[in-house]
Amino acid sequence: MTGDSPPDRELLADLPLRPEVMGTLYERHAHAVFRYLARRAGPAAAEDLLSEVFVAAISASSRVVAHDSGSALPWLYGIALNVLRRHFRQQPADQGVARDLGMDWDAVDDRLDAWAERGRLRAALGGLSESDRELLLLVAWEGLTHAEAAAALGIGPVAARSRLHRARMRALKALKKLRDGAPGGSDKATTLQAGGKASWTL
Amino acid sequence: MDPLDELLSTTGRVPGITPRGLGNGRAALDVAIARAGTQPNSTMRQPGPRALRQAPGRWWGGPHGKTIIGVAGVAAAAAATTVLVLPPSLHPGTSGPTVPGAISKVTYTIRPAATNVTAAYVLNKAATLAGAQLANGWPNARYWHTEEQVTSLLCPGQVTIANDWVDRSGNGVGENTTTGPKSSDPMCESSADNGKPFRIINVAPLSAWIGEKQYTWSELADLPTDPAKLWPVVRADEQLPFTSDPSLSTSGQSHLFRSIWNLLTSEPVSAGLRTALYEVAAKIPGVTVAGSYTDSLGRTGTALHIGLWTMVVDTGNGQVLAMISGAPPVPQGCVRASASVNVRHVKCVVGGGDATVYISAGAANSAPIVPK
Repeated sequence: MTGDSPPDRELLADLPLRPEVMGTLYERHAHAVFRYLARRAGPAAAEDLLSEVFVAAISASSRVVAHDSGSALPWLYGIALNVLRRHFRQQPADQGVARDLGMDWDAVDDRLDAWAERGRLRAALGGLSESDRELLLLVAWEGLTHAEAAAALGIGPVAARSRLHRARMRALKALKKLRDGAPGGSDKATTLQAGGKASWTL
Repeated sequence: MDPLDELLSTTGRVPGITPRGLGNGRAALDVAIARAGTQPNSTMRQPGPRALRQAPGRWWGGPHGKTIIGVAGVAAAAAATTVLVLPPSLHPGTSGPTVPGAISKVTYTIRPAATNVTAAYVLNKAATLAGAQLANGWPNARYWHTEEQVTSLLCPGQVTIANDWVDRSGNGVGENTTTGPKSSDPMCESSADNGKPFRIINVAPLSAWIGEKQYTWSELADLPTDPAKLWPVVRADEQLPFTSDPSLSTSGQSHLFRSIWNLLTSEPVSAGLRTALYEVAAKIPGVTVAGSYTDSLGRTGTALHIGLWTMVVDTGNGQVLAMISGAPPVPQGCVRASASVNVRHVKCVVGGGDATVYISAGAANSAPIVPK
């Protein structure tokens, strides 16, 4: 943030009456929001969805309040998650494979260079609920504090802390199971099917 | 670094956006900004407030609005009615409320609209937009404040502006200000006196209800945001079975739709839950598009109808704008029920024909002090 540019908190306060300040927020946060989208949907889809996040944010601007940290990113990530859900919902579902509205696993797999890594990631995250997984990833991938991640998901910071701890414990347990050779690697169904696609019960 | 952090660090690496992608995104955004700049505050108004209020005076919570602690008694009792008859002045195609001598903040019109759009389409669109309306900050706020305008056919001329501050335990402060002609009708505000406002403020339970179940903020936060998982929860809470005719008093689909509307209008629910609630509402059979809505705040929306209820949603931003209930006919041999009744046990309750316009909603850190 430069010295002559208003902080996010001021921009968000102005946003309901001056939608043009969304342009400044875009210049400031488009890269981060793109990475958020790319980690979950792949770079190609992320480029398509990026503008949708900021356009949706204009419509949502009347209710926005900056997080205590002052950053607009928790708010934008919350909107991005909903844009992703809608995007995934509109995709044709693979027959017999439960749809995951928060993550395109094939897109994730494409950027992992080792088969072992994709198995480990799925094992670690596959046993988590969508919201717990998102909480974990907002902290790990997007670098939010647990309080910021809580705001992005619309939950309280205390609940977020406890859910984050629980999610980490579950994910670590799943990784340990995988390392110890237990099939599946998580408490919930992880069934490799023909062609290497996984069926997820979230 | 433990194995999980190591794995997440590795898998979190993605390429940056291309300059072309960045430019395309900005171009699309600029178009949206230009459009927003030409719409006078249409997305800036905040409707949304409290749950079920049937007449000047309110249902202070309670399953299906069954517990009534109205400031002057409450009419309606739609839960106990059998036949839908929309009152003429509230029927789609006419206007309301236009009350001489009262402090009517909002007037509105619902006109029938020729459209091929289905209610499910409207609700799913609202789901997408509402999901983007993240109200950061409210989880830390002390209160959820809502402002509504309430009018009723039972109390012609009276207009109530109702403000509620509900805390996270489900209790709160309610403040009603009623203007209009004096009325001796026990269902109306008897202290209003020809334009002299009557204000009452008190403490009351203001929790959200789904069917028979009361929810605190934290319980609302724990509701699933996956529509497939939310559906069985709200169905179990609502209990009433779906019927072939949604206008029946026992129609589970009407009650469920109204419960969902209560949450959408009155409660600090997360963006994810708002989306899921709309998506669940879209699955309820029997909801139809009643017409197009405009009001004096410059807002426009689509009116949806099921059973005794007409609900209005702004399809431009997913905000709830109004809820209008139909007035059932008076069953033969019945007289009006008294105030402060438990609707479940009253067989001859009549009334209804009220309209609530949601004016604003949002987090607040203070509430009025109730005089002792």
